[in-house]
Amino acid sequence: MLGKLKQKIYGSIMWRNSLLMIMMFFIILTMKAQAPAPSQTKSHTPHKVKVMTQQERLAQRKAESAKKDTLKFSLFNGVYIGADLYGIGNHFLGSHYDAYEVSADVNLKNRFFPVFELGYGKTDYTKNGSTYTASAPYFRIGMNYKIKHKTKSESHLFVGFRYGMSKFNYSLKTAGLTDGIWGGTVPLKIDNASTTAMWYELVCGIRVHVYKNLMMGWTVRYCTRIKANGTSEGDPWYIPGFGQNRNNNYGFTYSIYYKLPY
Amino acid sequence: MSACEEEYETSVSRTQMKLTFYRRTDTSTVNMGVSDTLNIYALKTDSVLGSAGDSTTSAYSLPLSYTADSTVFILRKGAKNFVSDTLVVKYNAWAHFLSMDQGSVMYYNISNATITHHFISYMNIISKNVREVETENLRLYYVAK
Repeated sequence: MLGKLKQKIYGSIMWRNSLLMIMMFFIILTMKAQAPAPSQTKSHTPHKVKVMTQQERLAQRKAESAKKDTLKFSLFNGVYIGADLYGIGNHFLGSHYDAYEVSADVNLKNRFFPVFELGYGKTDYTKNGSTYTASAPYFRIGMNYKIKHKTKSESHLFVGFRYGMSKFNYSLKTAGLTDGIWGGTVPLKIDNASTTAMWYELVCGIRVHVYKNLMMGWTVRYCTRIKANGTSEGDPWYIPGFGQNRNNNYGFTYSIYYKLPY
Repeated sequence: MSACEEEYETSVSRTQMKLTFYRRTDTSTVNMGVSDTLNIYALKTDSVLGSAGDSTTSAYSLPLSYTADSTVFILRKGAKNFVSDTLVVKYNAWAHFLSMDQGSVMYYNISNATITHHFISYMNIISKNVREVETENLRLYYVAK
């Protein structure tokens, strides 16, 4: 029986390790895709080296600088739709709550990326005889700013902000509280208490062009709760889209994006 | 999204009412602590809820009944020739969920508190809320002889 238990634990650990390795592979793939392609080998035809005067060198630098300044982008440069992969994988890694989300953002002037994220979060968690359940959609709206926006490349680093909100019901079932000194038990149960949570996020991340119209990238989020009222019996423990009900949380998403043809 | 915030909070034990003692001397200086042995009992139990044999202990954390609307305490000063006062605390109580890691606790709102005056001169209610974070609830004054 001990042998079967060991097998079960070993199998579960192997499964989780395999998923972690797959996710690390995709992250490394994204990082590697940033590396510039090696330049083509030029022909070995000997050619004369022109020696430039200082005036000619200055003129060349001015011409290159002017060329960069004239690299202007139109207002609209495409729409991207994305889907978070980390939330799906996190479920199999034994997280206490699940979140599935998609996003849409628009490239404006190759610099500003207004973004809308829509997701669904849920939890059904039991610990120490108490069961907490909540499930609801959430949304975030915000903007990303492309660092090094003068480059045409789809691969870029970005910083940004989000405003998030979720209106949800939560429930709690417990065995009650038993008084160890005077005796007696006080019941505690929360039935579909309704609340609205709001928060804001500061984000930074990377988006990398992988193949044709496909991109992948990750986003790190620092979330600050604005509001999440509860009842006299208790506050919500989990907020869809935000995580555990605390003043601040860190979040992470790893997404695949597709640029719509236009 | 997954929050990377897997910090596990420790469970919270029973919420308790905080009682502090202040001693007045002939020079009107208020010092904290009782100058003699002090034992605090809960009525209808054999439990000693607080005990001190010196003058340095001035604060006591006392439990309140979950199911009753009041709890009675016996404060006994001295060992052989003791003197006692009876403290009655009335309150509203309800169970409150903190989190899945911390569990649930009882919350109380003190509605009234009365005490006899055999060695306690007077009493003030400092805070009516009894929560998991302890704050001073009742302050008792007695005159040192």
